[in-house]
Amino acid sequence: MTSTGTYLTTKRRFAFAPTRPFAARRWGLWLALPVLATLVWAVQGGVQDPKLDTTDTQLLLKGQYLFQFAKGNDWPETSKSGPFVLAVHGKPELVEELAAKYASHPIGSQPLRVVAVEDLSAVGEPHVLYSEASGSDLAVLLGAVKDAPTLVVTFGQEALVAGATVNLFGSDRQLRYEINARDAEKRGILIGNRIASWAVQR
Amino acid sequence: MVLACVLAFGMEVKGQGSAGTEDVQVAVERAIALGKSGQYSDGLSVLAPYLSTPTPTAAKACYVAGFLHKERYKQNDSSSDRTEAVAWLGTSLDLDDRAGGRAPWRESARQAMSYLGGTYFDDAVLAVRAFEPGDETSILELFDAHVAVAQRLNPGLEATQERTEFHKNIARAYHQWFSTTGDNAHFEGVVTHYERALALSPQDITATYNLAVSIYNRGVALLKSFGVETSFGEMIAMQEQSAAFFDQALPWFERANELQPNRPETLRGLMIVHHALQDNAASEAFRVQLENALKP
Repeated sequence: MTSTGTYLTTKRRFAFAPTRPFAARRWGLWLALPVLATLVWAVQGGVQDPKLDTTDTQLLLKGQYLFQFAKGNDWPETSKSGPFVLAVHGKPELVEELAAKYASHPIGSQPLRVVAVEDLSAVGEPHVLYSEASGSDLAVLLGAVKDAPTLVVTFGQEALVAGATVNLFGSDRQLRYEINARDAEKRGILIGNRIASWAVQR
Repeated sequence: MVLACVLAFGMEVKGQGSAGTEDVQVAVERAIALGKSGQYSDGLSVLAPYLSTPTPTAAKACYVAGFLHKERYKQNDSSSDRTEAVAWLGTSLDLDDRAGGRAPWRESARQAMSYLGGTYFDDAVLAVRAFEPGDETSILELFDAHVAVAQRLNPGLEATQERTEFHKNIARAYHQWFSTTGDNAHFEGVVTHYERALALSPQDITATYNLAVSIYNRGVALLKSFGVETSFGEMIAMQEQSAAFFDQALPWFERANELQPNRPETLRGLMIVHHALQDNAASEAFRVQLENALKP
């Protein structure tokens, strides 16, 4: 650092030194240097400013909610063999998040399998189906899992859509959810007490 | 040459003085000789009788005492010698001021003080570089000492910007600690020192933006800690805590945007914090602003 170097040099100056030439000019410099030094300090000292974490926070929350829905509800006996399938429609980054963080953890005795759904007509009967679609796309999707033991989770709908079991939506600056208990019952899915108790009524 | 220079100052004072002044001057010359041979403590002992109640006739004795303390500080790195050196040099200048400010050693005393002020500054900088939590009090004491010397020499000197930079650098140091430890006390250190920087310099865009980012990142870190072991209740609580951090960060991002409108980093922050607060419409509005700001 410019100023520190100057001071360190002066530290080694011999005592009772005669007055240096150009003292007044250097005196002015002395007053200015610490300011300059502090301004470039961060760069030269290696200290870093914090970097904005651009991780998609909604994605983190959606992933955790879907995992909690998988863990916290109960599916009919006919759905309790083979892998536990969590299907995500049209959101590959959420598939990545779920696969990376949760896929190694079984749901009950079933290994969790996270799958991406692109073809609306080939959804199958996953245990959980998540989609942010709306309008006709959503209607096709809901038609594909009609009456199946599938917990259908939508996002950002104005109100619960018929055929959807859970709707995630932003409220009071947080991600909340509402539950269509009748839809869950029709599909043979028993909503866990904890999940039911935190659901929002609109 | 050096000794001759100092002795020349002595001769000048001697020629002007009374009998009492001559006693002081003899002591001063003796102290200089002792100082020249490295016997700083002995030199100070010789001067001691004239320093108990300094008068203008003892101004040069004070100056030499300051110099001897300064040399002993350089030899032993003793902070008490540095303090004494500053005090005696300051006293010598005060006494000379009263006598009209014409002492031939005056500029030399000012340079000695400037050197000592510089050492305070250096020590404060080095202490920040080797920062450990809790060091801030001693760092700011060193900085205060530096400022006191600088303002003694230049009463109009404004140190606000320097002090702001110190707080920002202490905040950065705390940020590095927090990144490693995750200790909440270290996070509080980040916030406290950015807030202190902003109390001094409310227009400081860097401190404003860094404070916003630090608080926002804390909320993100909570959400990133979600895992398979997270219970439903924990998830709800962590979401509430993170939303509180996002809420706390938002006004600082907004303030940064007021200070420097359309700065891309700030617009990106606003876009992201609104997204985190589930306000997708506001997030989209800032995404559009960011896109426009990035257009060539």
